[in-house]
This record gives sequence, C-alpha cells and structure tokens, in this order.
Amino acid sequence: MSYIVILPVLIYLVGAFLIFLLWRKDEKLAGAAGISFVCLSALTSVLSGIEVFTDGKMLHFIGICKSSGMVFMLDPLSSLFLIMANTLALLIMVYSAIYMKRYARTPYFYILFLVMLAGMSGILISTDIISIFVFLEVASIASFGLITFGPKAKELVRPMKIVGTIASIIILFAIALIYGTTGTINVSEFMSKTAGLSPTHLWFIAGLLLSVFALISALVPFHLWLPDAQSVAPAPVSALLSGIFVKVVGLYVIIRITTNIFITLPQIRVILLLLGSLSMVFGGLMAYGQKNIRQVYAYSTISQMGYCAVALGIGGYLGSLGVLMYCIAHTFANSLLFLDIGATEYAAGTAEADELIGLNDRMPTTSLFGRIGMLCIAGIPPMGNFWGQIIIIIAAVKAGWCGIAVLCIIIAILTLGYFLRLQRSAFSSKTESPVGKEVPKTLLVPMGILTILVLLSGILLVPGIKEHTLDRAVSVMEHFTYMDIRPY
Amino acid sequence: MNVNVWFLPVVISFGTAFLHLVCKKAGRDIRKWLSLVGALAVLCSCFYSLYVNYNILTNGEILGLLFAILISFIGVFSISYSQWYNPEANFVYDGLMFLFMGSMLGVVLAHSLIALYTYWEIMTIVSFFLVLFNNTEESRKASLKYIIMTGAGSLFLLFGILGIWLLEENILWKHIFFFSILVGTGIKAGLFPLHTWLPDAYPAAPTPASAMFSGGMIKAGIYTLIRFYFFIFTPSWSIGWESIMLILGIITLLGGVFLALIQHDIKRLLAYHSISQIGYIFLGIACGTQIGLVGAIYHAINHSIFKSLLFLGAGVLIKATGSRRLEDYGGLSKKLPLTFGVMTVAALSISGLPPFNGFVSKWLIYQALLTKHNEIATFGFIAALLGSVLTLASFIKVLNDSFMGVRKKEISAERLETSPFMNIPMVLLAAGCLLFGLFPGFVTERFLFPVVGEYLPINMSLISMASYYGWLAMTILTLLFVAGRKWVKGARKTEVFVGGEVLSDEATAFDGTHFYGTVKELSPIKKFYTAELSGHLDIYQQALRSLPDVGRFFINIYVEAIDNIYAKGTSLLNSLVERLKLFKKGILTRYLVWFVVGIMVIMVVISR
Repeated sequence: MSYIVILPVLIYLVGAFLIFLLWRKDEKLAGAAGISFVCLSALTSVLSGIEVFTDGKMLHFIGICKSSGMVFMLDPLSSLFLIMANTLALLIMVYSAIYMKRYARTPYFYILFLVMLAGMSGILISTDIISIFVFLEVASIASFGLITFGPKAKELVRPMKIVGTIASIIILFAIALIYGTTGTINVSEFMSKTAGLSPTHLWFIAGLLLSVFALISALVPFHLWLPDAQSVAPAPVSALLSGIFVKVVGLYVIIRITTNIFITLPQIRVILLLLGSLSMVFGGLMAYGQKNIRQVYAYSTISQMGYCAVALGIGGYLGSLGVLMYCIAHTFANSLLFLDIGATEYAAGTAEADELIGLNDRMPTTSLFGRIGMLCIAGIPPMGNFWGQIIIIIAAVKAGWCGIAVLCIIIAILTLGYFLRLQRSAFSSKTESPVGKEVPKTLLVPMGILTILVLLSGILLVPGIKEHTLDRAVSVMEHFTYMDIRPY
Repeated sequence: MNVNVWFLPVVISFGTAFLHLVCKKAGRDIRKWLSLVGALAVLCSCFYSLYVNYNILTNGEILGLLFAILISFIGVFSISYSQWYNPEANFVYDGLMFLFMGSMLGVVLAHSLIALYTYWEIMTIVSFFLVLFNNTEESRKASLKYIIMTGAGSLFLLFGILGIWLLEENILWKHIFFFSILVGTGIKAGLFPLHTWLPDAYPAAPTPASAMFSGGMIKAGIYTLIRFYFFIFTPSWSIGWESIMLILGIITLLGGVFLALIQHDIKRLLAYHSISQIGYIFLGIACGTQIGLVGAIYHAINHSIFKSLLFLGAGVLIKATGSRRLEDYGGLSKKLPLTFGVMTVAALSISGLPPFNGFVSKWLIYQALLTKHNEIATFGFIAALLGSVLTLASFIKVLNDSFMGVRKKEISAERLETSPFMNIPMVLLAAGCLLFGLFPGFVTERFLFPVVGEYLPINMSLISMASYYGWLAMTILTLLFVAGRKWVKGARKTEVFVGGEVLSDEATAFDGTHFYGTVKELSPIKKFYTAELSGHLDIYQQALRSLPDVGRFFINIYVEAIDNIYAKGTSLLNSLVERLKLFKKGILTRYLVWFVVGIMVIMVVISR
C-alpha cells in the first residue's frame, strides 16, 4: 500500500500527459478530465492522510538497491499540507473550469495546472534534496507558464523568471556543496554526516537553502515577485500561488529546514523572526497603501506569511501549533479572497477599489464571501486565524519576545484597518444605480464551499480533533529527524 | 437565632407583593384585604421574631429588629390608609408598597453588609418607582433627581462597604471610608447639603408612600449610619469627624426648619421638617454617648410616628380640597374634626411639647448635648431649642391655615372621615404619640438600653425625669382645660372693627402666605432663602449645571486626542507607504538588489 504515497504525483503527471495527448483540442473534455484527476488525487491524499494520521508515517522506496534509490515519505506534517493543497486545488480547479472560458487554449492551462500541482505534491513527499530541486523546478516553471497565461504584460514576468533561475542555480550550488562535503544528497545520510562537517559549510548551506525558500515564501526582502505576479495572473492562478504555492513549497520546506534538518543552527530561528517581522510590517503597510484590491490581498499575503515565519521563529509547542493553525486558516481564507476578487473582476471588469462601488448591492453573495474571508484574515474570533494569531501572541510572550507580540497585535489592527477601508470604499458604499450583476452560480459553488471551510477552520483546535491532527504534525516538528528513515 | 423566623417579615412582604401580581385581575375588594392581611402578617412576624429571638440577640440585631417593628408598623398604617386614599390604584402600586416595605425590612435585618447593600439598592429602585408613580411632569423630574442622587449615594455606600476590610490598614483609608459611608447614608437620610431630593420627591410621591418614605426609608439610612458609626467604627473615633457631624447636624436642623417656615406646599413643608428632625437625630448620633444614641434612636422612632401621622393628615387635606397649597385650605376643623385633632397632636409632638413623645426624645438629645461638654455640642443644644421653637411656629401656621379661619375652597359635601382604613391608623398613631411620651421607660428599657450596651442608672433617671415632665404637663393641661372651659364660656365674640367698611371674610382672614413673610426679609436669612430658592444650594442642580461643561471639557480633550492620534497616525502611515512604494513593480535591478540584500542578511545572521 505504500505506493499511495507517490500516487498523487503520479496521477497529476499522468493526467497532464493524457490531457495533452487526447483532449488538447477539446476544452470541455479537458476541463472535466482535469477536475476528475484533481479529484482523484485529492481522494488519494485524503486516504493516505487517514492512514498516516492513525499509524504515523508511510515510506515508499523507489530504486534498484538500497544505496541508490529514492525514499518518498508521508508523515503527519506533510500529509496535512498535502490534504490541504489537494482539496483546495480541487475547488480552484472547479472554479477555473468556468472562469477560464474567456481565455484561449485552456487545455494547456489545465496541463500546466496539473504539472504545478504535481511539483508541489512532489516536494511534500521528497526526502532528498535533488528530488526537492526537481519538483521545485517543475512547479516553478509551470507557475511561470500559468502566471503569463493571461494576455497581459509578459514583460512583468521576465525579472521574475530571471530571479527564479538564479534561485535554482543557488539550490544547485547548495546541492553541489552538500554532495561535495558529505558525498550524499539524501537528507538522512547528510544529517548523519553533519557532525563531521565544518560549521562554516553547514551555515553556508543552510543560508543558501533558506534564501531560496524565503524567496518562494515571499518573505521580505524576497517578496517582490508576488505582487507583480498577482497583478497579471488569472484568478485561479492567484489563488494557487498565494494560497498554496507559498505555503506548500516555501513555508513547508522552511519548517523542515528549521525543525528537522538544521537542528544545530538556532540562528535560523532568529533569521525567521527578523524576516517575519519585516514581512509583517512591510506587507501590512504596503497593503494599506494599495488601490487595487488584488494588490491589497497580495501584500496582505506577505504580511500573513510574516506571521507564520515569526511563529516558526519563536518555536516550542505553542509556536509550532501557531504556525500550523495560522497557515491552514490563512491558506483557505486567502484562496477564497483571490477567487472572490477574481469573480468580481469577472463580473465587473476591474479590481480597482475606486472603481468598484456598492458591491454589496450589486453582487451580494460574492461580496458576502469576500467579507467573510477578510474578517477571517483580520482575525475575527470564530474563525481560524484568530486562534492562530492568539496562539502566536501567547507563544511570543511566553518565549520572552514581548516586542514581537506587540508587533503582532499592531499589525493585526493594521490588517483590520485596511480591510475595513476596503469594505467601506468598495463593498458598503452606495451606488446611484445598483445593477444586479451576480457572478455565475458555478463560480459561487466552489467559493461557497471554501467559505464554509473558512468558517469552520477553527474546528481544528477543538479538543479531540486537535490531538489527532495538529498535535501529530506538531510532534513531527518537535521530535522527527530524518535519521530515522535511512534507506539502509 | 432562628434565621427562618428572622427573615420572615422580608419573605412575607415580598410574597405579598408577588400575590398582588398573581391577583392582578382580582377586584379592588379582594386586594384591599390582601394588602391589609399581608401588612398585619408582616407586623405579626416581626413580633413573633422578637418573641423567639429576644434573649439571644446581639446589640446590633436588637436595633435592627426594633427598626423592623417600627417599619412594619408604619407599613401597616400606610398600607391601610392607602386603601382609602388611592382606591383606584392598581396592583402595581400595592405590589410596590410591599416591595418597598420588604426591602426596608431587608436593610435593617440584613446579616451581612453585602446583603444590606443589595436590599438598599432594591429599596432605592422601588422607591424611585413610587416617586414616579403619579407620572406627572413633577414626579418625573423629582424621580429622576431622586434616582440620580440616591444612586450616587449607593455608590458611596458600596465603596465604603467594599473597603471595610481595609479599615485597620491605614488611617487615611479609614477617613476616606468614613466619609463615603457618611455621604452614602446621609443622602438617603437627608443630611443638609445632600437633602435636595427630599423636598422634591415627597410631594411627588403618593401620600401613603410619602409617609413610608419619612417613617421608613430615611430611618433605614439612619439605621445604617448607626450600624456603621457605633458597631464598625467606634463612636467618637475621630474628634474631627465628631465635630463635623455635630456641625452637619446643626446645619441640617436649622436649615430644614428655616426652609420649612416659608413653604406653602404642605407636603414640601413636611419634607423640610423631616430634614430638620433628621438634624436632631444626627446630633444625638454625633454625640457618640449612650444617652445620645438612645435619644437618637428614640427620636427616630418618634419621628416615624408623628411624621407619618402628619403625612396621613396632610393626605386627608389634599383629598378634601384637591390641592397641596396651604392657601387653599382654611376653616376645615368643622368638616374634618378627627384630622384636626390628630394633626394637632402630631404638631405638638414634632415641636417637642411635654406630654407627647417628641419632648422625651428631644429631652434626651438635649441632655446628651449638654453632658458632652463641648462648645459645638453646647451650640447644638441652643440650635436644637431654637429649632423646636421654629418648628412650633411653623406648625402653628399650618394648623391655623388649614383648620382655622375662613373656608376658602368648598369641599365636597359627603363626609370624608368615614373609612376605618383611614381613621384607625391615624387614631392609633396619635395614641402612639401620647403613649410614647408618657411611658418612655417601656421602649427604652426593653429595646434601647440593650442596644447601647451596659445599663447606666443615670440614663434611666434622665428618662424618668422626662416622663415626669410629661405627666406634669398632662396634669397642667388637664387643669387648664377644665378651668378654661369655664373661662371660655364667658369669652366674648365681637366683629372685627374695620371703620365701617364692609369686608368679606376672605379679607379679614389671616392668610398663611403672609404668616412668616417677614422672616424672609431678615438680612442674614434672606441670602440663605434666595440661595435655596434659586437652587444654588442644591448640589444636584449645581452638578447638572456644571456637568455639561465638565463633560464637554473631557469630551473635547478626548475627541481631540483621538482625532489627533488618528490624523497623525494616518498621515504617518500614508507617508511611510508612499516611501515604500519606491520598491515596487517589476524592475529586474530592484529584484536583484533585494535578493542580494536578503541573502547577505541571512548569511550575516546565520554566521553568528
């Protein structure tokens, strides 16, 4: 049964290939096939997740002999991210089946979408650096394709591509260093040999890896690509990027680096605190200054990623719990926001806050979903972000980082402030001629499901559920080392 | 003690109020008897409690029970009277009366200070509704004033109660808490600068309720003050406070009676007299001696008796003429002989004339003031004498205006004094006035000396002396009456000489409006009157006047501060955001610069 670990990746890759071969001319069939493949993959990930959460972890070995193969692994932490990513991807896929109708060559969109999902799922199950690199490349190249799928400025994406390539080179450089110093690319073997490594080498490798994944998590000062990408990408891609990509590829790997791989480097936590607070402040301030609602959401994403990084930097049980809770709740809420503004743009033709007036009257359901998402991210109690935020603040105070706690509170107020301003200018304002122009129902359905998920996101902390989900993942963050899964 | 029996009066009162609620559909005839039976049951339960518990009570508990009996007596009389006075009143009124009685009983019977405070608040709220009950413009204003002032008083009392465990910590705290308790109870009792709700609320309330206010509620305030001053603080614990209390007593006594002199509204006049009598009680308490306390409590009891009697009599006058103004009365002695009789008794009692009860208690207070050997107390003695004289003067005006002279307003033809519900309470209260004056030993020996602690022969001899004076006055009065009857027979009645001009009866009548008109013009008192009448002495009105300014001041500060913070904050935020926008939009060099900077930061930190 252990092949279920690699099944999602396989399904995505095979699906992409099949769509390319069979249905690249037929948009409808391609869309249906895309949805069913993502659905299949989500089901598989849930099934594997059930097994992982009951039994611990699952390993799958591919290779000729023990010394020259690859181990794929699902443990509660990666399984949590996998389920989250795949269920969200399903909703986004359903949404894009309607949304993408106005674009040309949509089968290629589905192909790229599946490839990107394959890359992200692959990163979650990798245990060696080279496969992480490969899947990262798969995901990021697909994402470039997706971002530029729209007719708008391809110019904007060029620097992004260049920086992405530089990042790939840096990873390759790090891999070369690892292989050169320890003679292996497998993480568990690398860890068993870190003791013999010179400290300079160790921190240098860690620093290189950290910079790349900080770039992907869009932490300040590596954040520039995210708002630019969001300004041109189609709505499903925005949701995918801001909701899943930065979390699954960026934050997940940073969690692994910080908690499981470079355990001997406590400076990493200081860096995370530094970058996290910078992101919180900078993202919040920039979001405050934006006129375009998409840009507000993009900078808000940066700010919230800062929270996650800060929580990770604080560490300990509460910090780990906080980062997971905040990450999950924010993933759902943020995807909802991007889908929502995409739908609004779909109907109204613009995402500028000044031009959108009286959304509450014109499209009541869409704006209701948007408001719920905003309230969730701003940390209004019944929803998950509030609990995440409060756990982070408590963790910060307990760990003695009172300044960070105060900063968290101030940025939370700022977040509420810019969201309320949006509410006032775009949502609650009165129009002279309110034209009822609600988006198609098929767009509303995935958004509605997502809204329910957002509203329920606090449920993960309910005692009884928490022990079986979050606590398992937290114990992975606290106790797991890659040494346990050495292939021989 | 038997706690079940101890709280029986409270339970029965509240239960009767509840029964009124249940029987709200029942006719007046049924609820009339329900009220009467309920009130009598409360009274009986008080006596039963006395019978069961008397031997095992502590000082304070005896005092509480004594006040409970007093309140239930006044309650029985007022409730019985109100069956005649307010025959159309609905169940709300009856229920409120019983709730009021029950909460007052709760105050005096409460075991703990928090329970006392709770009942105190119930009492405040219920009495607020009683003041509001007539729902006229006047009563709305008065009730608002009442609830605000007494609510503030409750806060002071609560502050004092909550701080009681800090008393021994620090002398400063002790002073602060004593002040707050003095203010809290003083507002309820009508202490002079805090009295101003009283002359507004009494006329506004229905007359039986006014009687209960005067007979019960301000006594609950006095009870609480005694409980605090004598049982929690030691009496005379601070010379300064003792002097302040003496001075406050003198001011209350004289201020009340001077203001009463010039009133035309009979209930307002009685309200000012209540304030004045509270001044006497306060002087007795302020002495802090045993005889002072006995005098104060005895005067509180007596004041309840004669003041509620006066209110009931005033109610008859109001009912008969439909007016509260003394100018509208006159010549009613023929029509209302019983009222005339009992009001005369009550007026003589309140003025402290010998055979009646007011004399005995005032006598005890005089003795306490004299034996205090203190300049202020001696001055208080003179003030008390003066107050008695002025009280008499004031009541001569009342009696003359309402019962003597020419009838100015025709009253309805049918006879008024027929209902036993109204006659019996008045007669019993008048009898109480006489009995408490002639046999003061009974109450003082059984109830008051246990309260003050050990028995001192000197106190008893003082009381027997008062009683002796009472009997002497009784004898002389009887002799005078017998002799006078012969003498009056020979008296000659002539027409008023007006120089031939024919005048109407109204023109020759001596009008009460001008009775003490000259007093108003006396130079030092004139200022006092003008200040009081224009509301300068009224702390409530002063507060109302200054409140908007104070509020505006704070609101201005607050609003400006918030505005400033908001404006400064947003402008700062905007300028910050403007600067940050420099690092925007996809230019490759910026990407690279930030990327390199980021890597360098990470490398620098991680290499540490």
